Amino acid sequence: MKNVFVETSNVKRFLSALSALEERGAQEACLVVVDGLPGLGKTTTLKHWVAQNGCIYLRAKKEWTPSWFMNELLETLRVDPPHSFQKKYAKVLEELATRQGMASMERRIFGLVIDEADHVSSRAAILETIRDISDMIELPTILVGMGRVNDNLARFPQVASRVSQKVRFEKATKDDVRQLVRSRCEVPVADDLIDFVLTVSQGFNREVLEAIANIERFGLRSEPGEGGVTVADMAGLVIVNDRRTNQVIKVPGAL
Amino acid sequence: MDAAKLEPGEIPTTILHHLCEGECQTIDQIVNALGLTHRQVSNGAGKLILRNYLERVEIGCYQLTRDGLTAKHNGTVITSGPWRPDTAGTRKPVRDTFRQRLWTAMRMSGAFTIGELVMAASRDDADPENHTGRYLRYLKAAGYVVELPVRAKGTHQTSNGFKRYRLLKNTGPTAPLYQAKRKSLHDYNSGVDVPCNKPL
Repeated sequence: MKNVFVETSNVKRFLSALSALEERGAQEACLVVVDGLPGLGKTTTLKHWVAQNGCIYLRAKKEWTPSWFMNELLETLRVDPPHSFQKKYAKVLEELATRQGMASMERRIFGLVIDEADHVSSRAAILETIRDISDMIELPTILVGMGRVNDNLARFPQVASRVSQKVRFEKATKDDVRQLVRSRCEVPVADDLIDFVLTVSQGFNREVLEAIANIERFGLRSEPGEGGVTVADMAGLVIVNDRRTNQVIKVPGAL
Repeated sequence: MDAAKLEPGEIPTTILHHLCEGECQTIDQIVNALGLTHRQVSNGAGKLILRNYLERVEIGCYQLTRDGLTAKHNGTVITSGPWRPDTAGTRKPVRDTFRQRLWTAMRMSGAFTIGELVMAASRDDADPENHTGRYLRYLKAAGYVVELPVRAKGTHQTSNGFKRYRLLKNTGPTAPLYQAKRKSLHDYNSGVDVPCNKPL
């Protein structure tokens, strides 16, 4: 499989949300919520964005307290955490503001990404700390979750009002699947098989990639026709595992 | 003298061996004696002054120093190489390099393959897979990264699969720098040099 990052419609919506964030009206509204079911490409997108922009990435823990969160943030910023919470808070603001200033001089976006935010999205103390940091230096803060973040935030209007952009990662469209197959698969694939991949994957990127690997394995061993590997070529072969039943799905004889 | 035919260091060597003990010569005198241009003499004298072989008594008038006389007697030949030990410390970290992006992607990942890192970190880099493999070998030799026993399945018929790695020492945000001369990995985060001389 080719090691190429593919800009699917979800990635494009994420990037446009960040652009919109820069042009927001209310300056204090700098929270972005990225939500969606597992396997839709959230982590891959975020990993690519963080690696390219040098942002701060934290993975929320179930038992996070404000102090633990501050300590992790300070460690990521390479600062020895002071003892008192007050000093930690001041130090975090100082460090983040310096980095944000440097990033703006280099004309790149700088932000704080908190992955697995479902763990903290119903905890007022952590959310208030995040809001305070984000408000004070107008730092874009991206909360990444698996479907519950938006609903949980609704209980905290003072935080929810700071959410400037909501990006919901949706299931891949036919164009997304075609783009993924064309960009990443090392063998040509016919349209009927792409349609079948969309159906069996139910639009989940993880399953689409699994199907691409199986198609590639077959295509590299046989000689596909000019139009690429078709459904008929792969009849009877495993294409993907069903995530609900954990049963293999095979390509039927003909559609 | 035709500059195109000169070896690097030939002019300073010529000037060094032309001047005599206790004698101060002007640029014009050296130009006339050696058939060089003013610019060539000035540049050559500059290289000798750097090495502390020559001193400028007054503007445009040069005399050999004690070190210069010793060098002359020893028949020293000036070359284009380093003229003093390289005592420079470690370079400052550069923020936006391919290796920095790789390191950031590693810190965010659990287990990873070269392909996954390339996908996250690559921009328009030349041969990113090869580059990533080399950097991972340095990190592995220094004990920062461990190779996992089970490989990711490949798709090619003869594929041995793809090695999977895990970052063991996540010391901080700045990517460790491989120093070929010292055969070590400098970690900016902890400030230490980690030996990296296992077979790569």
